Amino acid sequence: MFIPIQARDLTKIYKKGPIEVGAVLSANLQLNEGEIVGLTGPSGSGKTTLLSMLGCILRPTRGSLQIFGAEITKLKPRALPGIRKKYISFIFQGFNLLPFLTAYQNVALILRLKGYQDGKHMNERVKELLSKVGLSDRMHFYPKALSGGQKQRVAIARALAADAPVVLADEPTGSLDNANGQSVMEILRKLANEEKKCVIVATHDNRIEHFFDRIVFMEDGKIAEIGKRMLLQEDHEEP
Amino acid sequence: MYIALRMFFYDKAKALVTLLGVVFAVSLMFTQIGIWIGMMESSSIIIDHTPADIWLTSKNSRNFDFSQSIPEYIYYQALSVPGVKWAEKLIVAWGLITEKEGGTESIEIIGYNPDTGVGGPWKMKEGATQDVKNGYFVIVDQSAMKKLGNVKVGEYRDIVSRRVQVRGISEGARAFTTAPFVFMAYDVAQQLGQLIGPDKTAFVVAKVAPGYSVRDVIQHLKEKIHGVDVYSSEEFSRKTRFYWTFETGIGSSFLLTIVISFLIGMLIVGQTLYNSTSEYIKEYGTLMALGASNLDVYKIVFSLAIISGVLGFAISLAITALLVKALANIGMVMVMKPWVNFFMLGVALFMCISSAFVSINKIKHLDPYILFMG
Repeated sequence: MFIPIQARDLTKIYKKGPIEVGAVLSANLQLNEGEIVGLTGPSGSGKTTLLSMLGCILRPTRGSLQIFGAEITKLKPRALPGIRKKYISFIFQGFNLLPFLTAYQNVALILRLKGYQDGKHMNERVKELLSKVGLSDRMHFYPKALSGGQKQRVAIARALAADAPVVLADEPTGSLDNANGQSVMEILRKLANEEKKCVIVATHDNRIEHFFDRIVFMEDGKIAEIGKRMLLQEDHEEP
Repeated sequence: MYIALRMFFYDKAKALVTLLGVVFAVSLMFTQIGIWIGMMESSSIIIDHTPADIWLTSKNSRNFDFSQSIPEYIYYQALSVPGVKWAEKLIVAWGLITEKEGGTESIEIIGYNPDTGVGGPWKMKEGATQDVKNGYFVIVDQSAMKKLGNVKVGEYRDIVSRRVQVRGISEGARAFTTAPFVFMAYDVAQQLGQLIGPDKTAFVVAKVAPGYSVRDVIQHLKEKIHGVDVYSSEEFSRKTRFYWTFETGIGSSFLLTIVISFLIGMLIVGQTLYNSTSEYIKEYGTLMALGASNLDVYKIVFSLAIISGVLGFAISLAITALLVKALANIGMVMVMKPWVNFFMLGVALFMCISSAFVSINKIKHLDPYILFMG
């Protein structure tokens, strides 16, 4: 059985003229099925860059990244959309819903990308997913007519539609109030526990730390610590 | 195409701006090409409506309107050449006609044989082609009414100091030059036409007998008759159009306008598509993050370009059809041809699709961080 994500010595260096800036430096990380992992750290610590590399959006400068045993760094760029489609789904802080599509159409689009044909089966699947996130009554609304929490739920339904084993969420509660944030995290937690997805959440929000099985703390482009939430918290609280 | 359609109609103001750009450029090109074809068709209209296969002209004659005279005996020589079924003399000359209220106007005199009608008007509104026979009688084309005043059958005018009576009104014989056609009998035209003179004609036209090829008869005519040029009707028509298009600069100015319209259209569509791509760059990135391939995203951009091109073309086609009618009312000829419509559809699509490449370039260099911006 393959491990969903295995990163070794994963590094991203940006070159600006003669200057090299290390955004992520030698990250070693293993993410398992059925766990929800928090990726924390101050702004500029490399969380988003690491998440982009894990999501096959950004190519690492060096190191190894394996997704279900496939060595991503060895693949040609044109193979990456296929990897993303099969293994990874994203949830963004800004929701990134397509504004010209309704909630229903945003979710259906992913099913289309996965090869579903328009018809009863797809229709039922979209309705089921939107009902799962509590949006049965908003499915024909355009994003501009939805609240922040509702938009994020559509984005989650879209991620669920992809049915990918890895879910990468970037600040999913960043634009939400506490109640909506907790509710979104409940859904993500269920995804890990009940559907055995590997969920990684990059966040600044310490109100949601109790949802994570593990927390990866990043600082200056490096993974400073990986541990259980409480232990990490206690370490950082010490003088 | 599904996403492109949604995207296109989502922001109606933007869709309108894009369409306006395409419509402006395509309509301008349509108009220029239509007027140009109309003018070119007018320039060879008598040649194209004369039921002859061969034209004998003065040496080095470059067009229909400014031909030198040739001796009348050429007509008899042509008749004696094997393969010539019949021949006719035709006069094209310049003259002056008096207007109703006084003053004069230039005209292009066409002298033809009223018994056969060859070279004469082909569609009559009033009267018949034979009505110019046996006297100083003329047929004026309907298109000349504005220029010559409201000419009526039965009224008199003076052409080069000779009183002539209007015996008929023809239709569709619109002259390319500013001087309208006035048809009359051959012998009358010989008297009234300037620079013609007795025993002279402008052209001899001939019909090829069945069983002979036009090419062979032209060859026989060239061998037997000297001091003239011999063309097939198609060749002489083409030569006349070529003269007006390329030797007078008319065609070049039209071509320049067409090219400028194309560039303007490309610029407007390119800029609108580029702005649209910039505005939706995050959405394109999201689609890619969700598993859409680069090709899938490029297809959306190209589909947007195709939608703009096809819709813009359709609107332009309707505008052009209306313009054709409107211009006809003010005496201008603008022509719509099926091949021009297909050509313009191709041009509109080419314009929009090539503009889309700039947008594709933007997507190629998409920064993934844009996806993570709140």
